[in-house]
Amino acid sequence: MKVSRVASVFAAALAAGLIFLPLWWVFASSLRPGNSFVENLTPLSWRAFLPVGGSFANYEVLLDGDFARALLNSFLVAGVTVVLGLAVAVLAAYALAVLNFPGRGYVFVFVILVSMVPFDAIAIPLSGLFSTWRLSDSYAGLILPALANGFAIFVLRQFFLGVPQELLDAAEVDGLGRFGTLLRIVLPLSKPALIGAGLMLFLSQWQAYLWPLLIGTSPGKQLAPIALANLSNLYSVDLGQILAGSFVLSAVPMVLLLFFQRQYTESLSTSGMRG
Amino acid sequence: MPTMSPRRWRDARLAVLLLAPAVLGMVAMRVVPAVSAFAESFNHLSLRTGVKEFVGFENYAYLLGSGEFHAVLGTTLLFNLVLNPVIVVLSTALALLLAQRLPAVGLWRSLIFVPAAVPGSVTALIWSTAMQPDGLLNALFAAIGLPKQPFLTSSGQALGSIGLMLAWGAIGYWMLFVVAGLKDIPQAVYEAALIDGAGWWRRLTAITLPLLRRPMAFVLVAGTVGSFLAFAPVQILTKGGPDGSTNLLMYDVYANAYQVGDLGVAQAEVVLLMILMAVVVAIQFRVLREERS
Amino acid sequence: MKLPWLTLPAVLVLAGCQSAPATTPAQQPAAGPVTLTFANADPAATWKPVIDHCQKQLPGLTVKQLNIPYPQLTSTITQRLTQGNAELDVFTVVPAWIRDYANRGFLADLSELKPQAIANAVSPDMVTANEIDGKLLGISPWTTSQFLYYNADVLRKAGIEPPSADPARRWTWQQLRDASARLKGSVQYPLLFDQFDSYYQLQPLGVSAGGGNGLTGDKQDKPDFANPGWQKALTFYSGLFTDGLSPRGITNDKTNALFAGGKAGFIVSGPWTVSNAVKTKLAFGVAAAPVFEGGKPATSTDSWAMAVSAKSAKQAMAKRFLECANLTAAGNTASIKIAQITPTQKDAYKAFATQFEASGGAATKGLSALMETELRTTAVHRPPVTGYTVFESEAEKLFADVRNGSNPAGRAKKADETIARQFARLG
Repeated sequence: MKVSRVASVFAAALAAGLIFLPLWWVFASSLRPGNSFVENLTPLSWRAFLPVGGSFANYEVLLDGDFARALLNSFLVAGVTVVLGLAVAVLAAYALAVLNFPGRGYVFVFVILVSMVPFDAIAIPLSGLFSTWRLSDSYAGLILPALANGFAIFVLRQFFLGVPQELLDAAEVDGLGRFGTLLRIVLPLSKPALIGAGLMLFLSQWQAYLWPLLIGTSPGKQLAPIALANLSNLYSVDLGQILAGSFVLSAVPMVLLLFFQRQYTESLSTSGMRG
Repeated sequence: MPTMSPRRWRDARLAVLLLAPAVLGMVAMRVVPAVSAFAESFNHLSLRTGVKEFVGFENYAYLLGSGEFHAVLGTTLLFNLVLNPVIVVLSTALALLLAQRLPAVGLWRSLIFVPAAVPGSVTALIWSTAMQPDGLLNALFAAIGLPKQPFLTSSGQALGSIGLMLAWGAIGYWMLFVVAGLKDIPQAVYEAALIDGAGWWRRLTAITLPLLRRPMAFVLVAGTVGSFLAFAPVQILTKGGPDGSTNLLMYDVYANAYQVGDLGVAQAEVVLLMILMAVVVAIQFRVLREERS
Repeated sequence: MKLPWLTLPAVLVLAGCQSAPATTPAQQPAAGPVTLTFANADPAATWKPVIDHCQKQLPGLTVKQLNIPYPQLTSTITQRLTQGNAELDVFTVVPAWIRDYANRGFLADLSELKPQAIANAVSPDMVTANEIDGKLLGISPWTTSQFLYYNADVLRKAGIEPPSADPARRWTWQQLRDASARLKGSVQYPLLFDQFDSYYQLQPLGVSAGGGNGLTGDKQDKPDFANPGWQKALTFYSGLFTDGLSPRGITNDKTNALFAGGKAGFIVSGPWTVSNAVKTKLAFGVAAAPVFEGGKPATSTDSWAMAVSAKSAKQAMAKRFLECANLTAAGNTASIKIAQITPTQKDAYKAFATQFEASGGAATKGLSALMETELRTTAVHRPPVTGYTVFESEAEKLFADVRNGSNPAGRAKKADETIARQFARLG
């Protein structure tokens, strides 16, 4: 390896280590029963970061209770959101990036402006609308608001804009048509952006807290962040279990990202054909 | 309007079809409730009598004439002017590092991404613990011979500490989008530059950054909106203090709406917040002017 | 997390009202099956036992829960009730909010239940605290109190005679401060409060120092944290941090864990600290909460109250549900099954207090009698002023800034001005 590569690996590992350190602390603390992790906290001891003498008891309790079912619900809701949300966003982004139609600029500005609306400021009136639309306490009610994700459209449009015009023209000459061009040319070139937009949609549901509570989900449809919040009783809070639950909630997207890394590398090899 | 060619006609019809689901969804899920929220900004509800009345621009006049609101605006602008460029620079730097073919690069990227997935309440627990007077950060400072810092408990450092928390959660996330943009740059361009004898810095400034304009525009704009709307750490950790030093606009909205109960003023603040964001974002687009390649 | 409904500033909002037409609830007779919607800010499990119990007691009753996050509770209730939405019959409120709710016409008059409520309550002021202008508007299923807990080992090593559980021999705040000063160096945190900077926790300091609730005027509608009593309390509070007896920057979700983990000498906290300390096998003791020398003793109190919506068409059944849940021993006992919080019904209270005193062994001896004395004689309710949430959130900013080193006099004056300005906008 060249010196610069060794330096790069070192820098990457250092950055990753520093940024991940707090999560490591969460993991180490989640192995301690109850609130006993505070014992190593003040004054801070190196033991706080060492999971020795711990156990997975918190995880066992957690996965035995409502949390496991809520985790499945979260997977379901987030998964459906990613699939439908990507479909909606890809179509819209393709229209905004490739098609030449009057008012295109205005539609784009509309998408950006709508993305700026703070959800917390409109969640309560929206939940009123959902109850008139009879969508309270339903999976549809959980999923629909997340589909209107302007940033997913935005990020895909930015990447679709990067597809060289000559490639699009060539596809037209080959008689692929607009849909054929999208499926055969544009999407395969945009895997990293699709992963990015997909993660964005996934996380928006994976972390959903306010909305599912506002539309009143019954216990069977509870999502993981709410099950996590329910771990603290009125007067007692078992931080060990909460930390364990948080680590699970944080680790799932990380594992998904690890899994999709191959797609990143693949797109590197296909990018040879751009140019 | 000049007459359109048949091809433009086809494109326009297709565009309506393709955009319909997204636009209809945004109208129903965002615009309709936002309009009712907007209408609220012209009302005042009396807590004494329970009567709601139309007051025109009175809520806006109250805000614009209030010294406290000016301070909130100042804090918010300062916070965003510093934080957003820092996030863009750091996430780009990490992306440059991690878009290379390195051993276990996927693992490093994933580890750096994780903070984005940590539940908000736990982020607050982590950082309040790390920043407490006898916490991790001060232990690290002591190890390298630096004095103890008050962090969230001092009006001089609290805003920066909140910024650090937000940056921690954001840079790995935005890094992914920059990495995606880097992967889009054809290797051939670099090979040509290498043949021309261009050094690392020259390749970065002449090739990489210009070709990253579009993903960076996305990261800057989306990151800016994200920072403008963030309020959870403030709500959980500082409640706008000490001495109002972390009273960011979105937290003030939250406090006025949910604590004070002055919904009219809160919604007027949301409107002003959106105008402010729109201006900042418009400037960002201007600076990173984009054209179809 | 812990006690969200006491630590977070309350919520008083009027949610964006969309243009749904206001429907007048159709009056329906109480006979036959009735489904009540009950909005609260707890996990569903908390209220399930009492709901199950009352559904059995009241044939035809079904209670559907609406579990709403604490910060959104008032806004959701407001939204539903201002829309004339009849799909909300019973909800929980913090007693101090009831004047604001009453002003907006949200609360049904429960006065017919008053004689029964008084007869069943541990202390009559638990009932009258929910009265506005002579009308009973809520019934509290639960209550809270505050004690001074100490780490017995730490005190013994420092040679400090522990404070007493006899309310007649309670420590002064100055005594607590002096004892804490002697613990400096031998324990990480000499003195903790369960909820630093919260009005619930610090109101008794101001009251005991002669400063009242931080309000003045005939109608108690003007802020007054600049008065000498509150200045005394705030200066005392400020000194704890400047002298390093209490920590800055420790968040309230960890205070109990730190005491239970042996990291503190004292903590001023509620009954819940007992189970935490028992769990970690800490050698601890409980004493009466301190008082300012020459002042009258004061302790924090209250929890949720249950209220009936004035817009509900099912008020008759709703009142019977409240009666079952709060005014019968079995119902009230069922309501604390999960929450493990102090009940207000006499017999339910007796059973709870006995078990509570037994739970800590020798450490909690005399605690039952102490708690009863505090609830009957020293408990101070938070003041149900118009705009309570405005008052509370500004007060808590004031306390937080004083903790972090702001000058008590200057900062209190500023808080008074801010609150007065906000109060003026409520009209």
